Amino acid sequence: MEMQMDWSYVGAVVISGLVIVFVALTLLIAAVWIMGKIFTALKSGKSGKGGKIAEAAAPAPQLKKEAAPVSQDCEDDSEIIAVIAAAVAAMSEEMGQPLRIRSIKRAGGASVGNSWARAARSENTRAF
Amino acid sequence: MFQIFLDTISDLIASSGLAALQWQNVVMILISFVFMYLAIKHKFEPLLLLPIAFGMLLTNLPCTGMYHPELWVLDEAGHVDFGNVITNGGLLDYLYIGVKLQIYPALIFLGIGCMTDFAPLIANPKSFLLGAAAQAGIFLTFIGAAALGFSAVEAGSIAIIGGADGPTAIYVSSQLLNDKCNVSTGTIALAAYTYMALVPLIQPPIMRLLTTEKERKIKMAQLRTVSKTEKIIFPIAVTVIIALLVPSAAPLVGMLMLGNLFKESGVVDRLCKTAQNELMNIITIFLGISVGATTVAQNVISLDFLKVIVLGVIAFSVGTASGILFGKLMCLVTGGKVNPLIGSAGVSAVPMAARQSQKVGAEADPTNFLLMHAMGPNVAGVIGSAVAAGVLLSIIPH
Repeated sequence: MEMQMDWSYVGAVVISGLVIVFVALTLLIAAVWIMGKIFTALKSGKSGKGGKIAEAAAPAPQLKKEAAPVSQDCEDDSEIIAVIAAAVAAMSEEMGQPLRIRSIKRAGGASVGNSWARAARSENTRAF
Repeated sequence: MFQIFLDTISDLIASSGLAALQWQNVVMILISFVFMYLAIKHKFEPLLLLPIAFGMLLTNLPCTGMYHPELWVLDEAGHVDFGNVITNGGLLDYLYIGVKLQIYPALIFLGIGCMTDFAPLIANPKSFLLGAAAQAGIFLTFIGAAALGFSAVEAGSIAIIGGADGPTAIYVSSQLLNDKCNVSTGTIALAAYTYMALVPLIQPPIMRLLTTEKERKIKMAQLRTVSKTEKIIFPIAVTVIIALLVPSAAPLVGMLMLGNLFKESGVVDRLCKTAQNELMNIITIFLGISVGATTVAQNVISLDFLKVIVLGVIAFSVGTASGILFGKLMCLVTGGKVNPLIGSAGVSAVPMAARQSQKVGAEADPTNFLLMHAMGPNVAGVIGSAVAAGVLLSIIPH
């Protein structure tokens, strides 16, 4: 076995180790927080402009054009928007009436209240 | 003629493994059977525990010539003579070169990066603090190892078990430990993977003990949606910050973040699939069997082995407890917006630790879904343990 350690060295390793880990991860918090703020600000700026565009846009019969401002608002939800648009288009054909999507909004408080959300979550976490 | 037959048989027996078999080898072979049983029957981290246990079996069967611990003795300059390893080594010596040169753990991290979603962490960056707090287990166990008479390199290798991250434990111990140590990389890996498999048994009692029913019922606000651009910038930013601050953590963090960039960029699907499937599976086989090979009976069977096992579970438990206690502090500071149960996920055993937060939270209130909230500290723990590994490597002379 190699030489044993003295307690001042042990204390130095423990204190410096903990301090460096906390400092490194705190810097990451700051970086991610700043990044989050910038992107939230950019997003809200875009959605403000997007709202104006939506208001100004003529009510065209094509569904895709109507959905465009919404997709700017929710960058990650483009697939969901496409699915909703396709469903509305199918309904529109069935009914023989042109339908418009004016806006798509995320329902508030869906985390626990909505029974569909609850069912999906229990399905995904049941195995644990 | 009969005499010649008898001589031949006795020569064969004298040169066979049976003649060289010592009781320590028999004990290690039996231990390898136990680990194989745990991996196959109880599915305890089977992807790594099974090859490790088989490597343990191969290395303890005498006269196979697959692994030679004497080849890994450091020379006067403190280096391994790799020329000697290549000339006189066996199959497992060659595979072990990848461990000794820290190639395998880094490549495993590449695959892990391809499979990790950092969105919960980006959405709630405060989770980093829980990932840092859980690393206290590493450093506090260092004190325990020192008290039990281990040297600095041994104590650092044992303490890293508290990070609950197998590749990180192998990465640190393969760099710190040498032929003069009474602890082998294989022992550290076995302890780390066994305790990771035992997360569902070790963590919940500590979580229940340190939290109140009221705290366990706290529901956390839904996380914000994270844009693709943020997910792409995140791995680049983390690499730059960590590599500048703790350069010795760069191989692990860098590869983890490269894998994540592969995933999030969406432009290199082929590389991403290869890194998280074929490459990772190949490396897992090489890593497991060669690390298992280091558990040579003469190096393992000692009182120190038992000390490592005890210190390992202490490291794990202290990491869990410190994560929860920091979670309680965050709960207090935020006026009850943080459920302290997510703190235990700060040890990096992904995703088992996060699942325990979900499970214990759901016991208190079945409508409480903590899984995504716990994934933040869980992936922060991966980064935290890699940083802690870098710190240990830079502080401890080896």
